[in-house]
Amino acid sequence: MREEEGAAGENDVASEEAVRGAMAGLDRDNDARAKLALAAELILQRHPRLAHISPRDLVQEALLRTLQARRKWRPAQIGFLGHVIGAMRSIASAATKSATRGTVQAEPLEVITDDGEAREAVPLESTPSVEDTLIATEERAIGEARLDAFHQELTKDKEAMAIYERLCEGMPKRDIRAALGMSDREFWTVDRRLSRLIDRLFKAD
Amino acid sequence: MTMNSRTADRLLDSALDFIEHAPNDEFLAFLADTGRDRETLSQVAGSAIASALKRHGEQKRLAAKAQFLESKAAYERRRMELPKTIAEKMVLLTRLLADSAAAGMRPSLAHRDLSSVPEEELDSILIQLIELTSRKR
Repeated sequence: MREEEGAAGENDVASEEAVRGAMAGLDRDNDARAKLALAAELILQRHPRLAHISPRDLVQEALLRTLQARRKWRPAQIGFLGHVIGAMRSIASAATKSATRGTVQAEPLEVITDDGEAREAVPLESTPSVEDTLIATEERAIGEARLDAFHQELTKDKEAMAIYERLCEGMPKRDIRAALGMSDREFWTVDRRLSRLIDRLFKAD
Repeated sequence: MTMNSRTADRLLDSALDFIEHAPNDEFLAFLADTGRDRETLSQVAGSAIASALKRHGEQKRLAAKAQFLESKAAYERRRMELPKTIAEKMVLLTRLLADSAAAGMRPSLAHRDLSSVPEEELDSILIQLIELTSRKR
């Protein structure tokens, strides 16, 4: 979607007009729209505490924040689809952190200091209850069991396992493809199988 | 956060990278593999796009309305600070015109018969002159 770019410099933030243009481009492309909604679904599956948020709401929020320049899109650095996916990921992470702390939003607290005028920000402190701790421990145990099952499934697919192992080492995908000596076609087919297992893992979550 | 967070994040990144960069036929095959319907998904995003544009438009309209009301209220506040009688207002007008001339400004009131100007318009002229002269100070 780089043809929708509205700014020239590497760090230039897209204007509202450029964002609207990119949204119109997205709206005309059925596959790109499906990709966006699927990305939202996967992100929300990864964040089970956000069960009250729908994929549509998450896509809408990311687009709205981009229109308002609260999430800045730099077209020279990233395409619009990638930007919106990144925005959704970040919104979901922040909302999960907030939900975990039991706070409505992750804004820092402000307090009046001794001089009565200056204010300073104080990060929210979380004090989990015994119940919260027990639930978190149980959730973690279930998650680890699912991850074990995921690993078991992966052992049946040596090529997908090879990609996964390198991902866990923090290797970027383009380097993995080169390291495994796969053609583009082979790589994406194996990556599809890995993505299917990841989808199943998060869905079960 | 029900499993090793870093592993889960890497796996999510990997799946998102696939969605963003995989060739369309592989993406469509993934949808078929996982029992998803492309049309349903694209409708979800289409609805989100329409809704984001609508909400943004509403918020902009509300912001513009708030700005208009604020500037109207500010004008009324300034108007309340003006002298009450026409005679006092004319004295103020004369002083402001002198001040602005002294400051090198030439407010364009030529050919205006200020004695027959409606009071509201006179107030508006006074407020503009006050702003103009205070900006020059």
